[in-house]
This record gives sequence, structure tokens and C-alpha cells, in this order.
Amino acid sequence: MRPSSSPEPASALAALTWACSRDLRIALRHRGEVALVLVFFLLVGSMFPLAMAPDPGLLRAIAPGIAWVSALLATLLSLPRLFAADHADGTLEQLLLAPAPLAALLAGKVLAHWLTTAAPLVLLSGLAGLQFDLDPEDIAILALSLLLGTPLLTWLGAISAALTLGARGGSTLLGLLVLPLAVPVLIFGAGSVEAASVGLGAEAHLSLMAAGSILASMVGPATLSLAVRIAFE
Amino acid sequence: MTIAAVRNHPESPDLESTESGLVVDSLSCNAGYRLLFHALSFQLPPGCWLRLTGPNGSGKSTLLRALAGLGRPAEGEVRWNGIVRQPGSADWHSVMLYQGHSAGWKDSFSAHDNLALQQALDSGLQTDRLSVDIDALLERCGLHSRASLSFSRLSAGQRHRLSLARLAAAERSLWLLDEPTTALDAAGQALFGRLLGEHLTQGGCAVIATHLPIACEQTALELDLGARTGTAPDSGH
Amino acid sequence: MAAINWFRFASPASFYPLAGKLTGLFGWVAVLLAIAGLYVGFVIAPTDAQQGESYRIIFIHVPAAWMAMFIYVVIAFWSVFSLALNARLPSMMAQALAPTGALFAFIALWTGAFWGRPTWGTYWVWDARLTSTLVLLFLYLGLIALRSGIDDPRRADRACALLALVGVVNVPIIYFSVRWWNTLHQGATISMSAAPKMAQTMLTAMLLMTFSAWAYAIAAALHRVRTIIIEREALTDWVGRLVNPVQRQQQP
Repeated sequence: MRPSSSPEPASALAALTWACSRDLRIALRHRGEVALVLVFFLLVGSMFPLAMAPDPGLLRAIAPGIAWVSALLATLLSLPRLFAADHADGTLEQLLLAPAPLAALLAGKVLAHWLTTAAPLVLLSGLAGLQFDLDPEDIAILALSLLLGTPLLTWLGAISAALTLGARGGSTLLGLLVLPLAVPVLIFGAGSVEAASVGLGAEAHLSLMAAGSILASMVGPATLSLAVRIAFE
Repeated sequence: MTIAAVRNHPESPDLESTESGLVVDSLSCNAGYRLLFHALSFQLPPGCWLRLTGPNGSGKSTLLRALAGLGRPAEGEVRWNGIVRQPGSADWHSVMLYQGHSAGWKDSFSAHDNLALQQALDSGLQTDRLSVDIDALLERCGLHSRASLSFSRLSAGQRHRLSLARLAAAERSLWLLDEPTTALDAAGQALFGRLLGEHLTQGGCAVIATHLPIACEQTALELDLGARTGTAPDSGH
Repeated sequence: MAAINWFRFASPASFYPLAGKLTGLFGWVAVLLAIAGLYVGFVIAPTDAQQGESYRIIFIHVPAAWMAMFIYVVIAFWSVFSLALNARLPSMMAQALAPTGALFAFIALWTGAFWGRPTWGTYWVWDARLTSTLVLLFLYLGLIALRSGIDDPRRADRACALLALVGVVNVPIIYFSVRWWNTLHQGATISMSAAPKMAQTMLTAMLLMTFSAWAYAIAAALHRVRTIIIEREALTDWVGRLVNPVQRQQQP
């Protein structure tokens, strides 16, 4: 035995930083994959005016909903990237067996995923807002609602992605799991812009979404660890 | 050598009253609806290694995964140095190292970066342990010339050599390896044999599933899962 | 009753015969209660002043919607035991209940549509309860799809259990968010909760139908769980004896 040289388990912060920086480096080398998701977001948003008369008043009214649905679909599309590659090459297995808190490692992965998927969406929503001729204040609210709501969305998506690892049905099954759970975020996210544009103020919506995201970030790591462990049984 | 003779192996050290090494007690594992093996028990003292053989589907990989803590055994207990192992605990992960069929390397990184990242995690991300010389390790495993190439350019055998480098670097007492020498050439297999010998000399243990001969000085204890038949008893709970 | 050791029934082998006896019992209770409830609801209860005869569909719609919600909570209850105790029978019960819950959600949606048409002239209104029931149906379908997508039965058990728990936490959130969305956009004019003021007979009919639906759900789940038990325990001795009593005796 080499008892004195068995390493101490890593701290949570060190594990989170390690996992996040590793995933960010991987995303950097696969910039195309990351950009694809963002292009999809703009593409889906562009479909709606093409499918109906591009009446400016109508577009302005439906813009928040379309932006949010497009963001939802784009996030959905990017979710397999979170675990599928690591599952296939055996890296996820090694994460499960590492002398580090699994919840922290997975939280690092989710953080990196949010930084490379949702955060750019927040910026791109400005473009989407311009496409639909939204007022600058409304565009700001839209971006803020995406910023506050996407963490919750990412956690729901991550848990669903972990549960569907190795299951048949692929992205469609993932969509069936994520979309119903995402209904509240959708309602409050799109609703916040509408409320602001009507003059009712978006504080209530935004606060609720912020609370949801904070709660999800607290409960998410442990739930995600359980989901990933289940996937390897 | 059969399991019954493990305790009586002439080369194994005298077992003290407190257990040392790996003890597997009445382990049963399922795969889907099938019972793979039932009430498996063996003891692996320090400095010894166990060769796991058996036909495909006999449960070698499942046993290794159950020992590592990836699958849930239907029943049974695994003890290390007398203490019951908690699957999923970071302490257990500090003691053992598992390498399965998938090598566990990212194609996007070079061999050097892959090893550096994994070794950092293996050492528990302690800053004082990060001074391991990656280049020296790569050189020992014959990957020095390919260290900075993208991993996808390496052959299967070269990728497996990186796994050997990881074994050499990680300070673990128990190795759980699933077919570690497949895809390795003769030089690679000899290297593995040397690494295993060093590990055992320092008091480590290893459970290795393999159908290839392993050139190691210490003789292996044998466990043939194909020779065991498992019948499903009336299910209790 | 007091001396029965209930934990004896925690093993699939001993639960199987019990489930068989109870299925028949609950099935008959369901049928009798349904006959009583439908009689009271469709024959005895008075015609509503505003909605005429078409309101009577609520005697099917409301119990179905309640049961759809209730069954999901029961599935979550079994899922807690499934994860905490790592036991098989709670997972099997959860698996057996999901299709029944989905069926009730589906019935609630259809009967809601049939109510909406004569009452408000449209088959579908995006009111809070109907929309929540629709999302609930999708949650059920997700549970069923995840179960069939994972091959390993124990892994499927635990994955579905976790999904059910994540879902049950979200169900009230979904319901309240949909209600908020609904009141913002449509006001309270078109709403399924604007049911006619309940005369005593209407309430009686509603309760009878609800208990009938409850008994049916139990009967259907027990019947389904027997099939699941046989399928999952197919390689054990007791199932072998069940299927081939003569042959088993002849084996050494």
C-alpha cells in the first residue's frame, strides 16, 4: 500500500474551475459547433415573419415570444454537446471516478455550457429584437430576461440530458422532457417583455426568473450528479 | 489457481487478523434481466494481482465496474483494508483507478494536454502535486515525439500508451483495468508489465480483466467467471 | 387486519397474488360507482339555467382532470421510495400508473373540448386548467418515453423516478405560471372553473364519478403491475412455476 501518498480529494471550487476551464478550452477548439447554435437561433426567428405577413405591429407584438421560443430551441439543440461527447470517449466515466466532488465538476461543465451557449444568445437577442423592430428598452428587457432565465433553462436541460444518456430517442426525447418543464420560464420570460412594453413593469417577472435560476443553481448540482450516476448504472 | 487457493498462495504475505487489501464479500451483479454472477467472494492481499478471465458476456467488465463503484451490485460488500467501501465517495476514488474500454481522452487535446489535465484531476487538484514532469512520463511511454500532436492523429496503440502514462503518474493503491494491453504492440506490453511489477512491489493491488498474457514478474491469482454458473434464486426484495 | 405484516408484500413475488385479488375488487367498485355517478349526473341532476344539457360533460371532465393530477403525485410518492430504498416494487407501481394517468389527462382534454364547443363555440380555449392539463399530458408522455428508451430495467426505474420528482416539483409552478399567463391575457370570462353553481345532486354525481375514477385507476394499475412483475421477474423460480407448473416439478 502507499497510504501516505493517496491524494486528498479536491475542493469544490478547484473542481469547478478545472471542469469549466477544460470545457471552455474544448469549446474554443470547436468554435463552429458553438456558432452553429447561435446561427440556428437567428434562423428560427427569421422563419416566423416569412411564415406570416411581416406586418410591423404584429411582429413587434409577437417578438418576445418568438425570441424566447427560438432561444429555447437553440438551447435544446446544444444540450447533447454537454454530455454526449464525454460519454462516448469515456471522459464522463472518469469524472465520476475522480477524487473530486462530482457535483462541482458537473457544475463547472454546466457553467461552461451556459457561457458558450446562453450568454451569446443574450447578446444576439439584440439582433433578433432589431429584426422585429422592438424598442431599445424592450430589447434591453428581452436580453435581461434571457440572462436571468437561461441558467434555470440550462439546469433543466442538463438534468434531462443526463437522464437521456444512452437512451434511444436522442434529441427528440430530450425535447419531450425539457419543453414541458420549460413552460414557466417561457411564460415569464416572454411575459416580462410584454409587460414592459405595455407599461406594467417587468420587475415581478424578472425577479421570479432570477429566483428560479438561483434555486436551480443551488439544487441543480446534486440533482445532476444523481442523474449522471443513474446513467452509469 | 482457483479462488479457494487465494488465501493459501505461497507468495502472498501472511494475512493478519485485520484485513488488508481488497476483500469482496458475496457480490452478485445483474445485467438487465440476467444474473451475471452470484455470491462471488475473494480476497486480494497487497502486492498481489488478480487476472479475470471468462468468455464474452460473463461479467468481467461488470465486476470491474461494480468494484469501481459505477454499477450497483444486487447484493454484497466490497471492503478495502477492512473498511466497507462507499461507492461514489471521493476517498474511494483516491484509492483506486479504473480504466475501462473507452480510454477517457479528449480528441481535441494533444497527448501532453490530455495527460496534464487528467493527472491534475488524479492528484486531487492539489497545487503542490502538479509538479509531475509530464514530458518525462511521455518519454517513458514512448509518446514524446507525438506529445503535441492532436490526439485524433494518434493510433489506437499510441492512445493506449497514454493510459499507461496515466497509470505511472497516478498514485493509487488499487488498479481496476479492463483489457489494458489490447492494441499495444510488444514494446507496449512489456512496458505495461514493468509498470505493473513496480506497482505490485510497492504494495499495490490490481484486478485485471484480460485474455492476453501479461509479462509480469509476480504470478497472478486467477478468477475465471466463465467457470461459475449463476442461477437466479427466488427473488427476495 | 391488525396483525398483517405489510412488509411481506414488499416483494414482487408476494405482491403478485394480492394484486390479482384486489384488481377484481376495485374493478367492480369502479363499475358500480360509475353507474351510480352517471345515473345521478345524467338523469337526476337538473338542467343548468345557462348551459343547458351540455354541462353534464363536466361529470367526466373534472374527475378525469383531478385524477390526472393526483396520479402524478402518487407516481412521485412511489418514486421517492424507489430512489431512497432502491426497491423494485415502488418502481413497478410508478411504471404501472403512468399510462393510466396519461389516459385521464387525455380524457380531460377531450371532454374539455366537447364542453367548450357548445358553450363557447370553440373546441379549444387556452384557459389555465386545460393548458396545465396539456402540459401534464406531455409530462406523462415524457415519463413513458424515457421508460421505453432505456433498456436496463433498473436504470430505467431510477431515471424515471428522478424525472417524476423533477416533474412533480414543477407541476405547481407550471400550473401557477399558466394561471398568471391566462389571467393576464384573457381575463376570467372564458374559464373552465366557471362551472355552474353546484346543486347538491351535481356535487353527489361529481364525487361518485371521482371515486369511480380512483377505483378504476387502482384496478388498472394493479392489473398492469402484474404484467410488469411477470416480465421483470421472468427468470426467477416462482414465475417459472407459475408458467409451467408441471414441467417445473419434473426438473431435478
